[in-house]
Amino acid sequence: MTDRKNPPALCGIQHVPVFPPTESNSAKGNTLYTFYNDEYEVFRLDFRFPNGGGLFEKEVAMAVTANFLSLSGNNTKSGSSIIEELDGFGSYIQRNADYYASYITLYGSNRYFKESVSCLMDALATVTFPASETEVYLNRCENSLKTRLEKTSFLASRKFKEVTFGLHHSMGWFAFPGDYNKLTTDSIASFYKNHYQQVNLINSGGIQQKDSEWLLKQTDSVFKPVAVNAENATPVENPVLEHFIQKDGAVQASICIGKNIYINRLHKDYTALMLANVILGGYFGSRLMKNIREDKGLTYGVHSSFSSYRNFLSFSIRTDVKNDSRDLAVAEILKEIELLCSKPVSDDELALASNYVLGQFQRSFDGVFNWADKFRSLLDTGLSYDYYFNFINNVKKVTPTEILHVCNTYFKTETLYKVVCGNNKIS
Amino acid sequence: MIHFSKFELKNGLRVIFHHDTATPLLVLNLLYNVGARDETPDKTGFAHLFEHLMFGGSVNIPEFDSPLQLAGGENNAFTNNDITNYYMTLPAENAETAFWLESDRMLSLDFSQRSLDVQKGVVIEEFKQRYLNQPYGDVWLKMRPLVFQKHPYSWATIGKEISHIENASLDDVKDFFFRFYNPNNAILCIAGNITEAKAKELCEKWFGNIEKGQRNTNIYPQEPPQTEKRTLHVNSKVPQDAIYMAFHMSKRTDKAFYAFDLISDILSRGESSRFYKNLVMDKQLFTELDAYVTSDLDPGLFVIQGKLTDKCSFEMAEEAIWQELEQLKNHAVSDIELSKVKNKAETYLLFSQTSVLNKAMALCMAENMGDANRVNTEMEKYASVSPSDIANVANTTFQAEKSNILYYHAEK
Repeated sequence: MTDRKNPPALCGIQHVPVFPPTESNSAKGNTLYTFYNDEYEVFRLDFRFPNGGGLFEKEVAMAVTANFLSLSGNNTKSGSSIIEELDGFGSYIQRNADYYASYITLYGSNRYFKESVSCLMDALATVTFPASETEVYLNRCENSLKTRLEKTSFLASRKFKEVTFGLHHSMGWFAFPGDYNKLTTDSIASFYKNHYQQVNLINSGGIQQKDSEWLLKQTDSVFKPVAVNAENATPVENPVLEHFIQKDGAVQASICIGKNIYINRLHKDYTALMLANVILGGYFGSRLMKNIREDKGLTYGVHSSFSSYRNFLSFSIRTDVKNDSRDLAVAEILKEIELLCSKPVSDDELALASNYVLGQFQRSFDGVFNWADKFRSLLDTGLSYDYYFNFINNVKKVTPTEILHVCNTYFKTETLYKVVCGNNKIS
Repeated sequence: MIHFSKFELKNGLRVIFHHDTATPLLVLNLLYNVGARDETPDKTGFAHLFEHLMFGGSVNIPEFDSPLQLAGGENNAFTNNDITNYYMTLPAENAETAFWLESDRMLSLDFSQRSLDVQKGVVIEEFKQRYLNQPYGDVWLKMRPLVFQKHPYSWATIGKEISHIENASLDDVKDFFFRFYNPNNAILCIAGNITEAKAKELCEKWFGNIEKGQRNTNIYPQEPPQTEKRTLHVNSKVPQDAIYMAFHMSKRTDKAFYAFDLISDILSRGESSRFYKNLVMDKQLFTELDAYVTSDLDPGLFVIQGKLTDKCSFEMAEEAIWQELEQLKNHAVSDIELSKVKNKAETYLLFSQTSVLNKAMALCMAENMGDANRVNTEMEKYASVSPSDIANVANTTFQAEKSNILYYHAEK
């Protein structure tokens, strides 16, 4: 008779293989990082522009715009013919501008590697941001913004950024209607010229050594290492902690609670704080999920998380709840935090959160495309592989006492911003 | 090429095994042959509500998520009109935990009023968050009954209305479980870093003694052929007018499916597509315009949907879309354009095969369609579509009297 009542014996995660990329440099000093898996018939190539992120923009939305329009072509070769050619090879392009760096990522079959890369490099080298393409894109952004401004979660999110960083900080500003249309061909071209000279290439998948050498030569014909300084403005935090945004007709309210925490992932408190966050709202069995979703049925999901930056963390708890229950939800969220600050977590609960985190860690290193993502994260936040080598031990060392200590140091509810977007009007 | 082997337990559970030594993980994917189409018109949203209940505790295990997380694993599920699919990934050394958990909730759930009440609340919030509180969120709640007059695809997986979920009783729920959640109504895929011998041993140990039950006969009222255009106008507080156009198409398993899928790519996959180039960039009638297929097991839908720019009226939008459809009907697609969409389909398939979870899901879906080996014949099916296949499908499908159109007016 099978014993169904008791769980099978478990093996803890002891070690996760973490392999840094092989690194090669071109004659001009451009760097190529490679993660091979020769069984793959496909490749992924990240063009990382270390000076192209939101940190570097002086006009709102410039980083994202320059990044997207980098494939908009010139007067002899249109943006659409570039995309047509890349599509013809069966490739896919992803573009995104994060806070520190911007990326253009090419996905394709090995058999069209050289053709698709040449096409893309040429496009990046010769782009002039023609007005025809620029205007259509910016109009679409304006329209998309109008739709997003109808969403309570979007409004709450923007307000949260504004109160934690201030509207004049590159992390705190965002587009208002009309801001996209303020950008011009000239201003976009100028940003691109100054910020897209330097590239790091990250190549993952089935591409062979000989193609790597060819790739480096191609890179030298277009790019060169030129660093750009970014102004590191200090965040201007709003003195008022509670903010409400009225949204007529909303049946749900969006809640955003949190703050900036001025430590980074290398700080001695970080691992304990990370685990405290997981216990609070970082996984399905978290305190917040158990209370607000499972116990009270107020929401489909409630999560807390950190966004990690070089010198600070942005901590936030986010959820969409029944509009009528928004005050209750806020009160319960704060109650859960206060509980974490007053009573140490049990060894069992800590073990659950730790094992969950180690499982996530293991999954995040499954396959070379994931390795490329983890490497990007190190480059963006200025960390070395030591962070990953030490991760498992750091997690295993954390105690309930430390969790209690970091909650009291960083999570006190009277220091948190509370932003709610909902409907105050009785219909 | 995905290598796999198949076996079946005495109770009818179909099992597919795929060995992958490049990963430290194991994936268990369990597909139940039950979806929204198996509901009755007065009791909708059940298959999805049930998916939620499956996480609320089974007969021997009061809580599902914690034991899995302790093992370093994670899991999720989804429901659509045809199936309900559960999946979990965890370190391969802890494989047995996955078998223990998944088999217990197939054995029986812990049916309690409290669990039911909590999940009803959660699902009602999901209904609001995703369908009522989002601009354009209620489109398919309105579109489905327009397009499907008899077939159970006429309601969405979330349910027709919140009251159906509110009124769900514990008896309703128990009845649903015993009708559909049986080993002989399910397909299990075990994929990752354990041996076949180990997989068989764990399967037999944990799933072997679950009793056979009913198998879903999958008989549904057929949708009669459509003979005249159907339209609906809706007003809503959204910033832009939007248009939704749907045509009935073939089943997922028909040969024509591949032609339909490539047509949707020709029209709207990526920025070199016809809709994007002609109607978004060039004529600036839409800020976005997409074509896609629903991939349903019963005859599904080919959908075109878009958001109109300020200068575009509904008449102009409709005319522009028809012009593109007439082009497909009357002019053979070029070899260059056809090979482009085929290359993109191939790259996409190759990428999906680099993930163990995707492989496991694909194997279950393929077996549910009649043959797990479909995963290895997809590429040649796309490759064999000819320009005349495209034209034939376009001509028989894209006719005014076969169209269903929802005009979503922005209230200004």
